[in-house]
Amino acid sequence: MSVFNRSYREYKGEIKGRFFKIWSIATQTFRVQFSGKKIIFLLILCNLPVISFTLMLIFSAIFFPAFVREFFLGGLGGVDATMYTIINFSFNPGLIFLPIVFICALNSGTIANDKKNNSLALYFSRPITRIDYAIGKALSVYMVSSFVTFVPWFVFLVTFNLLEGVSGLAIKTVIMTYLSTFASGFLIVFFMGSIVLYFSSISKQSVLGGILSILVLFLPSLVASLIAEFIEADWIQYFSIALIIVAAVFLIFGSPSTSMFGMNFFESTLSGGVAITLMITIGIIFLLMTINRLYREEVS
Amino acid sequence: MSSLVHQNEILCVEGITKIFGKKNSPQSIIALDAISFKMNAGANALLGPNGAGKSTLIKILLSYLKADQGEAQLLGHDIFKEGMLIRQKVGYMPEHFAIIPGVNAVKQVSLLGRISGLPKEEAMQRAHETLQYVGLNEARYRKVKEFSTGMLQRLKLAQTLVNDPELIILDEPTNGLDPNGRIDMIELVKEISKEHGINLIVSSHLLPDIEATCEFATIINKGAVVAQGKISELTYQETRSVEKKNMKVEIRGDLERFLAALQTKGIPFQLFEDTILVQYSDEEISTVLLKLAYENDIQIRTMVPSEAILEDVFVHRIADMNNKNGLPTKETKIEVPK
Amino acid sequence: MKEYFIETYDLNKWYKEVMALNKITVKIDRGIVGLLGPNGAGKSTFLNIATAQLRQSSGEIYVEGSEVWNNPEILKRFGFCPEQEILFEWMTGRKFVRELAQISGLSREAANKAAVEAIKLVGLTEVMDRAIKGYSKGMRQRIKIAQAIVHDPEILFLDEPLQSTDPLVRRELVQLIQKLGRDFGKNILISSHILHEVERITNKILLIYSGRAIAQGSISEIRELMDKIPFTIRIKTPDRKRLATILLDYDFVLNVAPDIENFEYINIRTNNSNAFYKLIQELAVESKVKILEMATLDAGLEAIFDYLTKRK
Repeated sequence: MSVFNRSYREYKGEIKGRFFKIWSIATQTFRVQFSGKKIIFLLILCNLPVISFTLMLIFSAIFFPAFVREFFLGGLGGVDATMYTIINFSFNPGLIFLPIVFICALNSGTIANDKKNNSLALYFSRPITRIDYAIGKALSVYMVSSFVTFVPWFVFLVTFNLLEGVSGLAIKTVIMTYLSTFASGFLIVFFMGSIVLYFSSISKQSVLGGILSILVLFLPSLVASLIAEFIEADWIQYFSIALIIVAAVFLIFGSPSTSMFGMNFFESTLSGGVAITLMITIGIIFLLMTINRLYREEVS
Repeated sequence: MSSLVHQNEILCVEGITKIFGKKNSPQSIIALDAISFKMNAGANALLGPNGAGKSTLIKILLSYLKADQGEAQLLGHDIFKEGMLIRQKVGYMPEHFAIIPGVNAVKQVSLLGRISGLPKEEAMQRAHETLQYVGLNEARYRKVKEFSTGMLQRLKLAQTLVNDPELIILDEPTNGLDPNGRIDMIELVKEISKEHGINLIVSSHLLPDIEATCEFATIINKGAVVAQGKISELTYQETRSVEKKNMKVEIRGDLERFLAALQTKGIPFQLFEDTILVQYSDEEISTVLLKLAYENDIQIRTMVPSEAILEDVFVHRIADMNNKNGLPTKETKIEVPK
Repeated sequence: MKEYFIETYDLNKWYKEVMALNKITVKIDRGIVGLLGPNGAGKSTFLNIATAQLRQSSGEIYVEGSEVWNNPEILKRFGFCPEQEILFEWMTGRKFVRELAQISGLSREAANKAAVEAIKLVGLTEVMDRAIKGYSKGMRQRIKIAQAIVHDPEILFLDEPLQSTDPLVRRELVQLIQKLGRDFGKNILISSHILHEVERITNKILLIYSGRAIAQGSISEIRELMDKIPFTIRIKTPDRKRLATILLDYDFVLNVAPDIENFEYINIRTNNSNAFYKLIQELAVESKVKILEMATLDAGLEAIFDYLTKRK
């Protein structure tokens, strides 16, 4: 490059492939969506269940005498049961609004902001397909959303393992727990994230997209409880997002026995298999709808 | 790669048709009507009134829209089959502001570089280079949403250049810029075209800017080509097409007196604000005018034959086309050429 | 009637520590006046204060002798075409113009009639019953102008009226503005960046730079005042050598050089345009020097703008 003011250099170097481009979109969007001071607040707020459990664990390790700890942890069952309990807790009908709000609020602008700022034209004039763009954005949504699922859960698990140690016999259980945690977390993220992604692509206003996705995630259970007034049927329960999530996680964790101090709080009555299939299918459908929308997008 | 392509040809459009709305319904709009033309390497202008189909055509070339009929090759690549390859080699500077929210200029340009396939370090390096090239060196770490209009235009140009395209399509590059900004942008575009050999297709309503940057022009209206050619030739033909030659004269002094003197001498003229258009048929007119002014204590400050500019070509040819189609035309008054 | 329709005295406007307008004292002549200046110089602020959308921090401004702030009487006589896009997307063009006419005091029937006429003047009759949402940028520009003139105001403030218009439409708008100024006697203040268009419409300008009024008057007068900057005059003549020799004898001729692009022309730099033109005429008539063409290369608006905004 010359020392003086301006020079223009030709480019004859390497050209990267498709995955690189998709990953670039994903990481850039992730960084943008995940920035700002509000994030810390939202992170803490929406992860309160996990955070409280983790803190309880740390506290009990530090302050309580050993027998209290053992009583407490014994009551919870093994590491897999404990993790399952936490997930259950975070996603039960009463508290599920926390992660839903997080996922919807942080991701509603993913595509909407690009539409508003007219940057779609910038992306689509590059050598990428619209599917590439959709996948890149979807990945960023999943990455952001993972911060209310398996990321904090892994933090808990690691804390647990550090404090309790891992005995040789339990290694297999521990590894399975990590895998199950990741699988559950990703399933949830895929399911909810794809829905939010779709609503983010229908309008320039991210707020609208966010509200619509929250509605879509809550309405089914409202509808279900209405229908339940008139019809007695088991399948109505599949309308509740909280319940199907719990059913899916129950299955993934291998139906752990979770008797907390003798009481069975968290067993699921729904079929985990159906729940998982539902979630994956819905996730794929919304992802495809998003791609379809993008292909129809007439960039102005 | 098409093997029949003339080496110099950068764009070949054949019979492209695009209709919006339901086919065969009265509501449908024919945006492009079997339009066919070619463009050669160099700096080309794509001109036309609003609604002529320019933006539709550009969108089709970049695969944002699909044409209903017809074919086209950009840089020798078929636009339907080789869209990705085209977007690799062609840069687009859109008319509207395009900001990737929440990032600063270097990050935005480098992201777009990566999306074009440049490896991470190269993309970042080129982002810095192109931003410096367009004059945004000091501002490159600032958040893009704080940029002024002029800065945004330069940013758009930088990101168009980051992947070193062979051809760039510029949509209203000088829109919204103040006079100094326009001059800078024009200089940049000229440099890109002349010194770095990057082909241009420029679309703009500011015809003097087009005259400053482009060599060839294609004028379209109602989805079809109206005129095409080298700008200097088009304006030359336009000047010659006016029946009588006119000399543009500006004076300092008593206007009434001068006009009276012209009348006495039997010299036909027209008056526009402070400019006089004097009809003439031979060179002697200049001496006659100077003498007349001298005798009447008037200073002639300007005396040049009035020549057509691109705008005259534009207005005239489109009026002609409307005439042929039986559409009402507005009276084409003689405008004072500058 | 005074010669000027806008007077300001020490007009100041600041936003915290940013000084948008700095002691502007001008009297703007009647007729059509171009308001020019780089982006951020204070043009829009000036327009906004003149149309009572903003209040000045200190100083006075009178339009047709009256203050403008909170003065609906005088505002009725204004027409304002703003730079920003209008937001009433759901209205039809006709409704939009009619509503604004009514706000300016016309009765419903009068407003409707006036709206149709104004829309006709800007050439949008065909689309007046279409929602503005479907208008192109050029059409939006024109509908904004229609609402500015619908109530037949005496004074028009036009902020970038020619933006986004194609050359055909621009020509018509230029003719319309000229007509409004000359035939209908309206006083028009036009703010625009497109200098060659401003030159077409008028030769009176007011140039604002960094919040200060740095030039006002007719273009040629201003150029004359800029006497420190020499004029470059291009002459086509077959007697190049002879002319050059004669000219160089005079001390107000600084330089004579052949034109790079066309050998039939020579370029002369002089610091006294008056003396030069007088001399040329003498030479043409008395000494029979053949002068075929003559033009000043840097007396136009672009040159003035350039000098004044770059050198300061």
